[in-house]
Order: sequence, then structure tokens, then C-alpha cells
Amino acid sequence: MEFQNFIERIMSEENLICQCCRVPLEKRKAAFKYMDFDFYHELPTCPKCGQVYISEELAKGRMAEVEMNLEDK
Amino acid sequence: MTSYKEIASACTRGEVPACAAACPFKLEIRNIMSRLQRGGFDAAYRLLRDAMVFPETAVKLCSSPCEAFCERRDVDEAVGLNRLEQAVITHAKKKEPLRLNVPPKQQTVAVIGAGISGLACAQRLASRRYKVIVYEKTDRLGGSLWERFPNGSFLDDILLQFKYTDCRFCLSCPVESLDDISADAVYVATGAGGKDFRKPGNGVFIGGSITGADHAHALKQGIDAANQIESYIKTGRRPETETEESEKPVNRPDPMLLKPIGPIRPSGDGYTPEEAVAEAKRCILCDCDICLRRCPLISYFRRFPKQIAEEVEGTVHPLDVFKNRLATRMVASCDSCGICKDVCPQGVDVKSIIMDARREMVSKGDMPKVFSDFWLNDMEHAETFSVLKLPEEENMCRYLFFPGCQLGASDPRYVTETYARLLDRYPDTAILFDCCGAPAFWAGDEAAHTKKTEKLNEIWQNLKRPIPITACPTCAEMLRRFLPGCTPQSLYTLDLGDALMTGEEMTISVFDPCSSRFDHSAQEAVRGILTDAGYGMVPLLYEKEDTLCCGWGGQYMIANPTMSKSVIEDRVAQSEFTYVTYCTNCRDTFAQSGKPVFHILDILLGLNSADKEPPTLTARRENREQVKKMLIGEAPVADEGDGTVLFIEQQLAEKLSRDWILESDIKKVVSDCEKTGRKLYDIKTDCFIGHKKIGNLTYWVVYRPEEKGYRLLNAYCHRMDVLE
Repeated sequence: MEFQNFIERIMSEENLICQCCRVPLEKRKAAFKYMDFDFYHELPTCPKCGQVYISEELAKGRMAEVEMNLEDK
Repeated sequence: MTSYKEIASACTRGEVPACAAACPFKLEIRNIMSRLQRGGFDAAYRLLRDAMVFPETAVKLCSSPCEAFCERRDVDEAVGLNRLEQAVITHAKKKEPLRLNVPPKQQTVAVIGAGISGLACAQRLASRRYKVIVYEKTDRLGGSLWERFPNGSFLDDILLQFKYTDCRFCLSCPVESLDDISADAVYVATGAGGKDFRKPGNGVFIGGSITGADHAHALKQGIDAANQIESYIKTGRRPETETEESEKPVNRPDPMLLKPIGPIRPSGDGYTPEEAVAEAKRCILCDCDICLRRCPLISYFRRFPKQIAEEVEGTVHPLDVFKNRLATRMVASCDSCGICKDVCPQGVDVKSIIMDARREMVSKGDMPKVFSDFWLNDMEHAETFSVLKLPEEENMCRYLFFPGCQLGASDPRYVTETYARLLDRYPDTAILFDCCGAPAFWAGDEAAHTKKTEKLNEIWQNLKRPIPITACPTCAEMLRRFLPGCTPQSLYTLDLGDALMTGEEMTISVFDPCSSRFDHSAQEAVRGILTDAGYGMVPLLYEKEDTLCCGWGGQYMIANPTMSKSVIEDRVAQSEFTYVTYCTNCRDTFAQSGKPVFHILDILLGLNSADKEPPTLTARRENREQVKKMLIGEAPVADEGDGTVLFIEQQLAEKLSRDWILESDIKKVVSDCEKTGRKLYDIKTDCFIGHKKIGNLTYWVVYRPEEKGYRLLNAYCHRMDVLE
């Protein structure tokens, strides 16, 4: 049962394992900062050490959009 | 420092055109013409009536001084404005006078004299429902108009305009003294040689032919008097008399818009409606927009100088700290080429507004650092791999070859082979392979720029001020501007021997770099080399003094990639022919977009073909390192990190380059991941993912270990910080 849960977690959390802590990432609220603005967004995060994952899609999509908006503020 | 708004204040955009400035009625000629161009005779009639009161009469009275100021007069022939006005009178169908829905006023105005001036004043005030009484010593309306039109052809027009007014006319009523009439204000328009009553008082106004004005100006004075009298009645004070603004700059169009179109001659007595529309279409509705059509920044942001100055002011000195800094990206997007000022008839220097603002924002930390980080780092790299080499067995050097850091970055041979040729002919030539400081200047980083300039100046002074020979027009501009007393000479004006790549009757177009706009000797020298080598040349629409930036100048492509892309597309679309330029940045920018392009040194030294792809950002740095090695024979000390070996396929390397990512930074991230073990493992793809912040950017790498190193599968970056 425990193994089954583990597999499901991997499948749902983008198959990513933190190499430091040997645990799969989970979606957690992460804090961002840019141009003196703070905000939060859910990111796959290591539940133990807090290492996060940002996909290229997110970096070049929504994040780039927010970056541009903040640069114009 | 001159304020941003002061710099832009001379801009004439939106001001009246020259024809309207000369018009006694200050007609809105642009509006009238734009309506006529669409066949709007009724709308044009309304505009004439609003400005002239008696449009049919006024058109006949006017001597059309406007036509002498038409911008077409030197191209083909002035637009026939008077004929067009007559056509409006003839072809307009709706001529019913306006009925103002305003309450009747209690004040009385007496008008003495029923000539054109008095009648105009009376009509204006009566239509606004003042009690107006016109005293006329003769038994008819029109005054001296009868001398010009004995048949009384003007009467219908005058009576029509009074149709909905309650104006009282006292004919055969000479006024002997103003004491005889009771009114809140009086307009004395008794005509040439008429009685002036010698009683200037607060409520007494005078105008018309009595002042020596001709009929058209007398009419206009009557209209103005009506406005002054109304103001006097409302406030109890005489308004200040408006003075003619003869010194006001005239709104002139871009001469390139004035293509000859022969004037339309009326087939009969006047224009038919179709002829009038065709003639009206010859009017280009002069409103200066030359900067908009040349400067990519003004065109991209669709802002004219005054608006730019206002937004920049609000951005640099915001009244409210929470207010959006609307112009930040605009301030970061100038290519610094100066075409704005060069084409502006008033010399409005938008570049100086933008560059001053950029420096001020940078000094206050209000400009996003990522906009210029890459270039400032690149400048640092150029300094690290700079070379100063003196000619062998020469105690003094007459020349100092200053190839520029981007020339060697594009192709090391551009530097080394050129220097070899120079030494053949001018053995007393030293070489300083370094950056000219343009990145710091463009970034608005005054401290870095001053430091760089001082260092260059020190080297130049120590060498006893040799003549710098520049290959890059931007370097030439920087040295000329910031090294006191320095007059660089363009490399291409020197005898470098015959070109190794001959034209074989190939046709090309020369793209002059923007910083060589006024370097006529370089422009001619490059064309001379090409002619001698047998190339046929087709000039570009914008060349020499009119040339525009390729999209690289100002290094705004990180701050505004969309604008940069559209500028490059515009530039390469100017001609189907292969370009030849003499700036490596122009060359590589165009080559990146797929345009066949030579650097003049490719032709002189027989180096690259026109379809040679530009090096990636990483390769550019490696090339620069290579130059140092080739010049001094030392192996370059590149920042290789800890020897991490990374394999990157060409396609991925090109993608990284497009995203402004250096492979050296990526190596640092992989090396850090491997050293600390801080990385993620992707089960599905069997690869590692890691990230690291370097400078102001966070880089992500996706990679897999291989036998002799690591295979990079992907990399990307973002500007935001993630707080882990």
C-alpha cells in the first residue's frame, strides 16, 4: 500500500525526486520576489529541504509575463 | 539640466500647418481637406461657416495667402485652396444656419456700421442671443462691399446667416455720439475714414476697415470683436489683445511624402465635385510625423516627442511612488542612433531625453538590472581579454589600430589579418584590442563608462596620442566623443590593398551603420572598395545620412526583444540584394535573421561568404579569447570553472544563444549541482535537473551524465527570485 502511494505521488508530482533528500516533490506554496514585489505560487517542492522545480514552460510563460509587468511598474 | 519637457517643447506635432498659419481666418484647413477628400462638402461648409461667418462672401474676399505657404508649391503646384473653398460653397447642400439652443441674454450690444466687419460681429453675438442693434448711416447693408460687388451678390449670404437671429438693423441711422445710444458694449466699425468717436472706453471696441484692414481682415476683426465683447460682458474686463505669433515654428511634413501629383484643372468655371475631391487629395494634411516614420522607438511606442517627455518625466520623477513607471521600457528601448534629432525640422532630440532619463533611472536603481547586465559582463570579458601590442622595432607608433571587441568576437581573423595588412603598409601601428565603453554608455551606467573612458584615455596618452584607426563606427564615435582631442580615422579610408573577393558583377546594397551617419569619408571609402572590386551597387532608401540602426545599437534587444525583431525585419526588407556593411554588429544581426550579408572585411580579406551564420554568444567570447592568443601567442585563460565537460548539440547551443545564455554559466550550474548534490532526478526522462542563481538570473539545466562528461539536454533562465 505504501509503495502504491509512493508511485502515485511520483506520477502526480511530475516524477521528480530530490536527490538530496531522496523524496518526491510535492506541490507547495513558494515565495517569489522581483523588483521589490513579493508574491506566491504553487511549485513542486521537496517537502524536506524545500528545493523547488520550475519548468521551462512556467519560466518562459507566466513568469516571463509577470516579470515584464513588474519591470513596467 | 534642461528638463525633458523643455527639450520636446519645440516639436510642432499637432500645431497648425503653414497654410493655416497664414490664413486670416485661421481656418482648420487640415480638417476641411480631410472632409473634402471623402466628398464631405456639407461638413466642409460647416467648418468654413464656423470660421468665416459669411462663408460665401469671405471666400470671394480672400486673397488666399495660404497657397503661398503650401508645401507642394516647390514640388508641383500649391493645392488650389481657394478654388476648393468655392467648390464647397457650390456643392454643399445643407447650408441652413446653426440655431444655438441657448437662453436669451439681457445685455445689449450696439454695432455702428453695417459693413462686413460690423455684420460679422453682430451675427456672432446675435446668434448667441445677445440683444444686438446695428446702426447704419446708409439705407443698405454691406458698407464698402458694394464697391467690390456692385450687384449686391453678397446679400443672400448675409441674410441667410441672420435668418435665426433677432438682430435689429437701424438703417439710415447715423450715430453722432456714443452718448446717444444705450448699450453694454459698442463695436465701432464705421469703415475706412469713418468716425471713431474718440472715446475709447472699457466697453467700446473698434475694428474693420477703419483700422486700415482689407475686407477679409475686417471680417475677421468683427468675429474677434464679438468674442472680446462677450468676454467683456461676462467678466467686466477687456480681454488682452492676442498678438500674432509670427515666430511660432511651422508644422512641416516629411519631404519624402511629397510625391508630385499634377494639379487638377477645373473643366468649367469651377471644380465639379469629383474634381474637387481629386484636388483635395493632393493635400497631404501636413502634420509633422517624420520622427514617427524613421525612429523605431517613436514608431513602436506610437508617441510623439511631447508625450514621450511627459511620460519620461512621470517615470523618472513620479509624484506618487505607487504610480506605474510607464516609460521604463521605452527608456530602455532607444538605440541611441540620433535619427530623431537628425530628421526633425526643429532638431528635437528625443535621444537625449531618453538617454538622460536612462542615466538618472540607473543611478537611482530604478532600471531593471537585467536589461544591461549581459552587456556590462560582455564589456568586462572584453577587458579581461584585451591586448595592447606595440609594433616590433618601433619606438613610436603613429597609428593605433582599435578594432573593437565585437569585431574579434565575430571572427578573430577580422582583427588579426587586418592588423597584418596594416603592418605591411604602416609598420608604426600598434593595436589595442579592447572595448570602447559603448555598453556602459548605452546602459546608462555613468560610473562604469567614466572608468572605461579614463582607462582608454590613459593608454592613448601614454602612447603619445597616436591616430586611432577604427574598424567599428561605434568605437569611432565613442573615442571621438569621450577622448578629448581624439580624431579617429576609419580603417576603410586607408589603403589596405586590393580586395580578395571580387564582385564578378554581383549586385549588392551598402548598409551604412547608424554611427557612421555623418562619416562621409568612410561611406565613400567602402563604396570605393566595392566599385574597385567589381560590385554593382543599388542604394537603399535609407542610406548615408539617412541610414537607420540595424536593431543592435543601444543594446535594447534584451529589454525589448519584440521591437528589436521588428526593426531587424524592416531593415532587411529594404532591399532584395545582399548587403555589405562595415559594422560587425549589423552583419551578425542581419545574418541571424537569414539575410545574406558581407562585412566589408570579408570582401577585402576574402574571408566569409554572405550566408555565414553568426557565432553564438559563447562562440563570440571564445573568438575574442582566440584573438588574444593569436596576437600575443599565449593560451587564453578562459573561465572554465572546475573543468566540467559539457556536451551541447549545435541546435541547443543556438537556442541558448537566442535566449542570451552563455555556456560558461550553464557549466557553472551543472558543476554546482554535481558538487553539492543539490539537484532533482526526473524518473520519466532519466535525467537531472538543477538550478543556480548567477548575477541577477536563475539558470536551470537539464542534463545527463555521460562517460566523459555531461550531456546538456536543455537550459533556460528566469529573472525572478524563488525564495527556497
